[in-house]
Amino acid sequence: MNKILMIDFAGDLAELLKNLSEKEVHQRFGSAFHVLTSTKWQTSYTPFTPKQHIHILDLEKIKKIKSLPLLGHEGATRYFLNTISDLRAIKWDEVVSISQNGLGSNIATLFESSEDKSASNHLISRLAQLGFNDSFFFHCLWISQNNPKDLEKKVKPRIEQIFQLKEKTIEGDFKKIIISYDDLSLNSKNASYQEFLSSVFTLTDKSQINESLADLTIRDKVSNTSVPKINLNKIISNNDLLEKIAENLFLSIQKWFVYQIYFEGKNCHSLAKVCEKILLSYSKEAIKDFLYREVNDLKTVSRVILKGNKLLNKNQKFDELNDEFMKRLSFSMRYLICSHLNPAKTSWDVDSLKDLKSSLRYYNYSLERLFKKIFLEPVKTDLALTL
Amino acid sequence: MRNCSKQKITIKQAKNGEYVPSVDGISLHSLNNPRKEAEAFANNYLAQLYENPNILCLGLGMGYHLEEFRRNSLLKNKNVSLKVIEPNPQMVRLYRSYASPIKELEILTPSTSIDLFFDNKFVDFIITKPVTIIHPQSYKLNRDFFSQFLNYRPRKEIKDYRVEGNPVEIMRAARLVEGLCL
Repeated sequence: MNKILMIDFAGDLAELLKNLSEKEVHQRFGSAFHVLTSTKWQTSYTPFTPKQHIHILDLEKIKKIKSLPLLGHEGATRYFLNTISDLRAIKWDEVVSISQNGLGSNIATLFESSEDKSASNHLISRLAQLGFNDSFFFHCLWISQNNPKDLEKKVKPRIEQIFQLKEKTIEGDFKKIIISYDDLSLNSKNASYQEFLSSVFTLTDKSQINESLADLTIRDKVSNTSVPKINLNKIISNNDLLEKIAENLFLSIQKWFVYQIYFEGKNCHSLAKVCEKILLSYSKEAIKDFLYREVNDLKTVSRVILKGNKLLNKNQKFDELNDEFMKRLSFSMRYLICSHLNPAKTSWDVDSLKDLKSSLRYYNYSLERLFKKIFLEPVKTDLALTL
Repeated sequence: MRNCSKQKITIKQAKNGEYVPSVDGISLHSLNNPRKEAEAFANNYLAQLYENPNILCLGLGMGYHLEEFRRNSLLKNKNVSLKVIEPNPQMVRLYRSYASPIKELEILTPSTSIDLFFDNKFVDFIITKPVTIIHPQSYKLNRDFFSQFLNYRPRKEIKDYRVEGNPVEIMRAARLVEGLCL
């Protein structure tokens, strides 16, 4: 039986498991996989694997150690390595981690032996085999952060492989693909970008692609990188196309995300941040409609929030508040996106909405105001260009 | 580094009949009534012992003071965790031969004082910020050892860290821990 170690500190794997029955989990991972997780998430795994296979890394304890003058950062590092030393001594067949914030994935790097640098491949392929196809985006992020040099040689073929697998396994949604990034890359001067896009994405319905796409400018605006940029303003100026994009918004987000991590891995710190930018950049009524259709209770939610809504504190500068708000929104958006990406769910998670709602309430910010900001205000060029 | 092997330990009998170890002619407890002496010694720490059930003592002797620490702590706490650092293994052997065992006591005999900081179990104990009590006679006999322990300070530069393993991995782990503690 394969020895599998799952590393989960942000709870992402736990969330994925929650959607599976015990039988399904055992079919996919075997009956006794190991987990390295934080105190917070340990109970998520007790239904699926023996308690002695759940290894806890107490992050709070490590923080405490660091604060003690006798031990400090050196002591905390030593403690951390000692804690995982037994697990590191085991030769794992698979090490699985999909952490978005990088913690679990960074810990996963400590399980790579110096001779075998293929753990990144394991992570991706394993999750794809397990049916967690959406998770590969997180893995791409991890790889881009940790093994940028491996991207071309190792990761790209995997992305191709998994993406194809995904195309085959998840029908329905993928049949609706309208926009293909093959076409977006037509004007790209960057050969690797074209190559990447053409190899990763399958053109599914050329006929539906508006001719105006050909006019899209692939901008090479960032002086310190050779990464081409797509001007989203060009896209959103075409209402027909925008409607179609909105229809497949999340699919687009996924693809954009792959683009981001492939070319800008080092600058891409979280999926949520990217998704958020994309959501904000698309703008216009089409997305509004899309969201209202998906979250049919949104109006009710906004009415409830409005009741408790107060004006922004006059003493606080809007920009400062907004920065804070956006941080909170990232968190919420992450759940919105994750829950949507989960094929097992057909609509947005109620908890995600609650989370968003509480974020808004925290900042005395109404949902209406948020959506007004997102959908009705003119799209900021710089925001679009950052994509 | 300790040099305990050269210490000559003998056992004397106090006036009240209790055993008292003597190292190079220096008695570690009172030769009149070691238990009474220990009681008075422990009473100096009453408040701390009431508040904190975790006790770290530097110096074992014949353990009279440890029995009193335990007794005082249990007056206010349900459980007590008692650890003693004793650099001299001979002393530990004598203690085990002559003294009545204390259930909650763990005796630590590291080769060097800094070895303790490499032991996760000990670090777990340190995090509880135990009441730390120095047994003066034992301290005098092993001044270098205990002073090194008390004055231990972590290294500042990651490259100087006293951590076993591949330097690249240590660096990676250190960065990771840094991130954890933001």
